[in-house]
Amino acid sequence: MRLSPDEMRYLWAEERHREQRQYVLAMLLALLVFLLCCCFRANAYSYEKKFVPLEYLKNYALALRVLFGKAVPPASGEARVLYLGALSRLRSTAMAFLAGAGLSLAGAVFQNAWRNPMASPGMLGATAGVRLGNVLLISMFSVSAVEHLSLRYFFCYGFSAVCVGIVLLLGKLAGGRRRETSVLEMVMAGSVLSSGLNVVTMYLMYQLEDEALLLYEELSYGMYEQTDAVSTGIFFTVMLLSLIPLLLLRTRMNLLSADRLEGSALGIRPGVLRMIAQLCGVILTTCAMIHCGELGMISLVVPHVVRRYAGADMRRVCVFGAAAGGILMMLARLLGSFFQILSEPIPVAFFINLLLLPAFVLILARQRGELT
Amino acid sequence: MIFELNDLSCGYAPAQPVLSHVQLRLTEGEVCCVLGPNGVGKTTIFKTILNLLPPLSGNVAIDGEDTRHWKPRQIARVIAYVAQAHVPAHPYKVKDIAMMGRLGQLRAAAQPGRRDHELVEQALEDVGIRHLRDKPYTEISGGERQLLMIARALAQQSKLLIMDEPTANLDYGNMARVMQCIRSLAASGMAVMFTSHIPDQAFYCGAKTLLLVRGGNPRFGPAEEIITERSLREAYGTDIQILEIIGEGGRPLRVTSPRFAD
Repeated sequence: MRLSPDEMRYLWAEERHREQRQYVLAMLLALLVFLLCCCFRANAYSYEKKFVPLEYLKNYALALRVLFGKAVPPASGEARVLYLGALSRLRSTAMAFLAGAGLSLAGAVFQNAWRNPMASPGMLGATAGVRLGNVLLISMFSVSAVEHLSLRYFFCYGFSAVCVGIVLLLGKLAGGRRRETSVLEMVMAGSVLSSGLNVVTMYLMYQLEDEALLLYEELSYGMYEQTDAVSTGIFFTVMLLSLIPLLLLRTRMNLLSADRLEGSALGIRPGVLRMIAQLCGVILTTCAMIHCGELGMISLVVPHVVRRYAGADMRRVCVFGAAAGGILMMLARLLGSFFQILSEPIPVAFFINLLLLPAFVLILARQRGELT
Repeated sequence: MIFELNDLSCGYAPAQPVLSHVQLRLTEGEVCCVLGPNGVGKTTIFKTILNLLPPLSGNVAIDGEDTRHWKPRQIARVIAYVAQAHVPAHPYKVKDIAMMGRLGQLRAAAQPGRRDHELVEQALEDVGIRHLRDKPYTEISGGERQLLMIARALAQQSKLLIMDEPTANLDYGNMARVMQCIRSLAASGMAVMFTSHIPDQAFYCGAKTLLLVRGGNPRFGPAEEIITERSLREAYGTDIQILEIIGEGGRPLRVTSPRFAD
């Protein structure tokens, strides 16, 4: 039976309206949490004696006017200190949002591209590569390691790229003459390689002196904030260059859920699309890990939570997943600024896992309920 | 649309072709049933048709044009493919799966528009599962999944539908529904090519038959000519009898049955 044009029009309008409303709500929520995290954060800077959210909001407005050449920043005094503090907080909050968004997006894309709900860029050895890069740099330069920014990027990105390259190559070779990448072999190769690199990392870690070891822990667990203009600029550039292609291709990413033969028959080159997804996902994870440390289960759990409530369509999973990951990361850092144990900061990953664990358990319980 | 396999040999290594000298011609509204034992090369032939494997010799032609250098999007405009078992890792909704038929036709960063939504809704309606549009794919039955895959192919608006064992693992009712759907598609002008292990299905659809025999030349022609007791014994290595019965309205029907020793 042919559907009437009126019925079609109604369905289309209703679907579009609902989708737009959901996107606007997600963006508003992200903006609200962003402003909250920009204005309320304890113990971030030693010179702050009290909460001054309104002062911060005024300074953000001033920063915007400065950006468009409509005002000049305060030259000296308390106003200058507050202005610079606000700028630094703005940067670190934006970095937290982008890192969370990137990790969540990378997880969603990997889970879809590998057709495996447990997949993550870490399975390719990217995180083990960054760990090794960090520890090697600190072994060489001790506490001054963070001053060698270009070397740090070279080591972390280099080891990450080499690990991922080796694992992808092994997966391709294991596919044999059928020219299909073997996911199982790739996962096994990734696990073996990561374990091997982690052993080397552990060995080097135990050779570090006290202060150097402390720096390694701070870098690894996201307690070291590097918000200078150069590293922030590099972080934003790399993250956006990887995030934007994934967001643009999010609709097409749905086709990776089909196998190679089906994907090809649907009109795409599955190998090329999968490679773009993997490349961007690995860069996002590596970049987030270099600047914000290891961030727990974001890339694994957030996409599952989003799929549960918004469906598996990558158009929605990517947008809502990025928003949810960013919000979660900002909230975790906000919580981390308020709580300490014996005057020592608590890793951000702890709060992320603390926030995600109930959601994960709830999903498992619901799935179990549906199955029975 | 005229779809042809011209003296096609396919496989993974030139020295060891999986299939040789496949000759086939299919036009709009025709059905072709591909029969043959396990591992004879049915999936290999589909990979070659869909350009995932280059032909070792011969060619695949659509309207006389060799498709060897066609891009996937060009292929997708003409050929739709339904795999034997589609098991997505995530619970896509029925309408999202059907929409996948449209995505390959769009530009890389484009979003589906109103026309795409209309085609998807109509395709779901055509196969009779529009009431399931908002259900997760993982919660519908095997038969409904197969119909959904056909709806996805319809949304793709291709002219030839290739199906890999569309009735594998389906109960008898769902098998009949899928067969009915194939007949309807052919009646609407679409060419359909499907693989099966049940020779009866070639008779159900009045299909042409491509019989693949291990170590022998493939045979192609009307089901009544190709499916004989002798050819089935050669293909499957077992005795199978062909029975002719009178169906409704006095129409003769052919069915196959194994010939048991005792």
